[in-house]
Amino acid sequence: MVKSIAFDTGPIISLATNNLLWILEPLRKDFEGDFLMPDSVRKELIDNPMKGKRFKFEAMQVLSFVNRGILKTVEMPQVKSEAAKLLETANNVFSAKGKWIQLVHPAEIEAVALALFMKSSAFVVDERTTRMLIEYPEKLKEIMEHRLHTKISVDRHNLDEFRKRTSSIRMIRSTELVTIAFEKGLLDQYLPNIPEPKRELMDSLLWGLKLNGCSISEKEINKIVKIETKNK
Amino acid sequence: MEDVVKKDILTVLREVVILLEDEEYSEIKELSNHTIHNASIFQDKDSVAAAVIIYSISKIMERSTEKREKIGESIVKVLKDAITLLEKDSVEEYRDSTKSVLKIISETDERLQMFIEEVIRQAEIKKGSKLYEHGISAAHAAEILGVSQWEIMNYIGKTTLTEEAAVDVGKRLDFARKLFGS
Repeated sequence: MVKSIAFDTGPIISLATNNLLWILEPLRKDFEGDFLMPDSVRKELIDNPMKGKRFKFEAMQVLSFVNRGILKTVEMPQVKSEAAKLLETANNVFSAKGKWIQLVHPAEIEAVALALFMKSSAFVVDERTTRMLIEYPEKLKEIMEHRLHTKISVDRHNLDEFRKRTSSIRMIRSTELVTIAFEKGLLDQYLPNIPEPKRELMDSLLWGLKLNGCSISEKEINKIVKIETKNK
Repeated sequence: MEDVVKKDILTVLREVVILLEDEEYSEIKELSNHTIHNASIFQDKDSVAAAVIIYSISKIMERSTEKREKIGESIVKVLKDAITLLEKDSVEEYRDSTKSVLKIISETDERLQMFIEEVIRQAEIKKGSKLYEHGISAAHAAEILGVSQWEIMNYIGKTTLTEEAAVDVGKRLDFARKLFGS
C-alpha cells in the first residue's frame, strides 16, 4: 500500500484562505506518498462552492491541485462502510436531556475512515470536535457541559468502541504543515525586512491559520514560535 | 416539536416581544443565543430558525432607525400571532408565521430588502459558529445551518476560543517532522 496522509476539509480551507495551498506540492514530494481526501470532502471543498459565487475561486484553486494529482480523491465502498459504523458510534457517545448529541458529520468521519482504511501515516484535521473526540473526549464533554449548562452523559461502551477503532490515528493540523514548510525554508521568500523577521513571519503564519479556522490556542502558537526561533 | 423546545421558544419569543415594545433593541441579540443550547442538543429546525430570526430582528432594528417604530410594531404583531399558534400546538402555522416576519419587514421598507438577505446569511453563519462553540463539529454545524464550511471556518477562527490541546504541541511537531523527513 502506498504511503499516505488523509485530509479533512478544514486544513485545505485554512491553507487556501491563506494562499498557502502551494506548500502541499513540495511537502508531498518530501513525504514520498499520496495526499488523500474522501469524495465527501471534495464535495464540500470543490463541488459545492463551485455552484455559487462565494469561495468559487478558492474552490477552483483546490481543484487545480486535484487535477495535478497533488491531492487525490478516494471513493471506496469499504471506506463508506467503515465510516457509517464510525458515525453511528461517534454520534451515540454523548447525550443530554435524553437525546444523543449528533456531534460529527459524515464527511469528517469519512476522512477518519479513509485514514484508517489506507493505514495513513497521519490525518490532517483543523477543527476541534473531531480531533478532541479521538484524542481527548473527556475534555470535549467538559466543554459541552460548560457551554450548554447541561449535564452530559457518556455511553462508555460506545466511547470505548470509538477509541478502539480510531486508536491508530495520529493527527496534525495545517499549523504543523506550515511550520514544517517554514523549517524547510519554503517560506523564506516572505521574510520581512524588519527586526526578528523569522519570529514575525512564523507568528503571522500561525495567526493567519488560526483566524481562518484552525483550532490552535494562543499558548500553542507562542510555543511554536519560541521553538522555531530559538537560537536562529 | 419536543416539549422542552416549544417551552424555550415560547419563553424567548415572549421576551423578544417585551423588548420590542419597550424599545430595548440592544438586548434582543443576546436572546438569539438562548435557543442555541437546544439547537445543539436536539438539532431541530425550530430552535435553529428561532435563533436566526431573533438575531436578524436585532440587526434590522439596529439598522432601521427611520421607520424603527413602525417595523417594531409589525414584528410584534407577527410574533404575538406566532406565540398564540405555538401555544395551541399549531406547529406548521407557527412555522409559516415566523417565516413571514422578515418578509413583512422588507415590505415595510424596500431599502432593507437586500440588507435583510445579508443579515439572514450572517445570522446563519454566526449561529453555526455558536453550535461549533458548543461542541458540534464544523461540518455538522455548517450542515445544520445550511451554510458552507468555507464560511463557518472563516468565521469561527475569529470568534471561537481554543482550549488546551490533549497532545503537547512540541510532540505533535516532532511527529510532523518525522513525516516529512525534517
